[in-house]
Amino acid sequence: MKNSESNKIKKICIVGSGAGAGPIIYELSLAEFQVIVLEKGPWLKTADYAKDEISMTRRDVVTPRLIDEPQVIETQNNAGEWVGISNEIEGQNFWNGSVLGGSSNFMSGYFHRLKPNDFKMKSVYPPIEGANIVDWPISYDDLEPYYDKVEKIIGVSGKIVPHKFQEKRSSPDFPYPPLAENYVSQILDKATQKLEIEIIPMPRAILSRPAGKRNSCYYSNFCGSYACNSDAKGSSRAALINIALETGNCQIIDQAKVFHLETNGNNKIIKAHYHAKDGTSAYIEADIFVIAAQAIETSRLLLLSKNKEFPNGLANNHNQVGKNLVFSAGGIGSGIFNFEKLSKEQAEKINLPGVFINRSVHHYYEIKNDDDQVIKGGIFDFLFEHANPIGKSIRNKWNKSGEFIYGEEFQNQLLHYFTKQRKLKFEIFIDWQPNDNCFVSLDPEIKDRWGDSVARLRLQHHEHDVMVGKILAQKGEDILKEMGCHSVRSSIGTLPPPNLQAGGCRFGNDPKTSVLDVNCKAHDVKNLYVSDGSFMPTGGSVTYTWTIYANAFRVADKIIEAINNSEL
Amino acid sequence: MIISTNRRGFLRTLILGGLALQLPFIFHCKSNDLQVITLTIRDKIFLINTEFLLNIMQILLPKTQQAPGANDLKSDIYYLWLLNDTHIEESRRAYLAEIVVQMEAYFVDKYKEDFSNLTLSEQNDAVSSLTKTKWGEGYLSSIMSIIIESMFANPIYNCNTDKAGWKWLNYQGGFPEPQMSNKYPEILTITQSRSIHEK
Repeated sequence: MKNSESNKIKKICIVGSGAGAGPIIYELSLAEFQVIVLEKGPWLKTADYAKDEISMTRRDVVTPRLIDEPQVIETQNNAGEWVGISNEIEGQNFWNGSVLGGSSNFMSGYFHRLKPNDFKMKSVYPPIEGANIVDWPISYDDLEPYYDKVEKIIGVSGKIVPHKFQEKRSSPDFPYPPLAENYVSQILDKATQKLEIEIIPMPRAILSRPAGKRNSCYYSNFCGSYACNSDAKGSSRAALINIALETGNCQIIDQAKVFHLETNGNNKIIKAHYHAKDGTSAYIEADIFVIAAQAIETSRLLLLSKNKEFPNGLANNHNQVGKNLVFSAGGIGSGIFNFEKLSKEQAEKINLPGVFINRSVHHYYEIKNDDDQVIKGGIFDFLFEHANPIGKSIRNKWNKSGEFIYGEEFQNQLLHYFTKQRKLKFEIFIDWQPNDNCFVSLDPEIKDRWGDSVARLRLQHHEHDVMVGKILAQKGEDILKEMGCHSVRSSIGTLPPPNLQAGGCRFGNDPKTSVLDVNCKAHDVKNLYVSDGSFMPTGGSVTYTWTIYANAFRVADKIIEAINNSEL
Repeated sequence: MIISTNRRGFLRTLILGGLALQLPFIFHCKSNDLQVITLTIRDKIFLINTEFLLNIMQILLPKTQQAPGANDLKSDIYYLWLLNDTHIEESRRAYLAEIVVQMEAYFVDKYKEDFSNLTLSEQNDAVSSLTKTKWGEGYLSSIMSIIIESMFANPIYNCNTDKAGWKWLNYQGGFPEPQMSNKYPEILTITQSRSIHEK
């Protein structure tokens, strides 16, 4: 959608460059608006990255050091009081990718759409005590065209196989054929058929054939946690920003940490102030501001931007900013293929590196509770244990009895682990219930290296999610056992996964209970949009990135429409 | 990058030049003898006996017929590099320095002898007895984790010589491999040399 001639001078400042920002950057640059991107991290290009476990996963290269940018995590003590401690000392790290393109550079690209009932969970499912579930102000049908757009522009490969919970689609199949699969996928298909469980090919945001300047997947064996060296992975940088830059309408200012959004006293942002890489402070003036810094940091920036006009934080006149954070609840399971129990040929096929399993079970998307009511379940995805050798070798310092081993005993165990077996995993995704004890605020004392108050996180889970997770975990274990795996186990976590964060700036029709309107424009601020996962009132029981990309494309359309209608 | 096939020569090169890793080295030789290295972290001075460190590492991962040992992997050099990496949190580096110092002191106190003067069998027994204590197991486990890093790190990090750590496990690292320009820590400043127009 192009802008009209009279609006060509509109300048849009976008904070962040990940999945929530990329579509905005792309569409508004193509529409010939002036786009300025403020990205906190460095502008690393494809050629800068390597499949280097040390730099990518063992050192703080693509995420900041916690001594420089800590977060405070609250936990309850024995007296039930919430006590915060900086994660520089202990606790989870909620930074995911402070580079151009954000954490979309490092995702595995397991892509699932939300399903129609995920948009109306309050209306469809029985209530859950203590959960702040609300219906979305849009339906699946509103977002479907954008899911379709993501398939084509970001590039989603896979194959549609009809199943009980298949959501309706405007395109009959994915634009890119499925990626190459490991022999294990066939074993999985046979096992689930025997158990009468529907299993489907898993869509991936990875090109199975070249498109434009992006090459296809070369099956490096190091996908998740690594940037893609063929640009096959649908990162915001490779799929969207690189194209936006070619228009000449997009400027990137990297290593620019935005710390305050200044308003003009009339509910309008006029400047984004940032700490520049040379140690000075600077600002960008623009007509429209879009924040997509990932859920925690977006809420943090709004809270940091309080002023006389917005004493509780920007867009926070009803104290909703930072509230109802959601993550993906769930857990993991695993089983081992022992090569000594297989033929040489089978073992070689299973041990083939690089090719994927790409199977997902949506069979339990809805389940029944003890009262025989239909409740929301979830999904699980099958994958191999990550190829990174350091992490799994460190786990092999302990024998089956839990004793520390070293010397030849350790060497023998490691040799067996690497050459005589392969571990298969499943990852469970279920809804994280939004609740009053899951939110982000500003810490009153601890500052980052620039002197700005850091995010303070209270991250209470809901026991309902553990209950649902256990049901799915049992099903996953049954499948692994049917496949012939040994040492089958699973666990349901209560800690939130740092890379799957959403909420904090819910969208909705009521300004008293939401931060953003249906188009993800702040209710209280005339020219502010939020386009990362912050908008999501509920998360759905899938990975978020496809939905974030889709919604960001939708928001881009809404921004262009508003400009063309002289509303902005 | 200056590479020396001689361990002491390599250490001397690192100390005098600090060229290979382009990090400000904050330690210096106590004397011409490179066995003990002085390290300052968080205003605390650590005296790291490098021979003791390598001895312990060789017990934890000895060279065997099937596998390279810590000496082959240059795990001690890797450990020292890590201790001197100012990008890594001081608390972690101080801990890794402290455990070496404390273990050495423990053994000297227990056996009334430098650890290196014990026979191999006595050294093995000494380490075995240490694993029976919670603190000892923790210290040894931490050192083992660094040995494991040195086993699998790309040889560009001056460890895992000839990919010996990969070969014995039939493991293949990913491609593209890191180069001098984009390995750690160079990748931290890789954008600095780019002009505004080179994006």
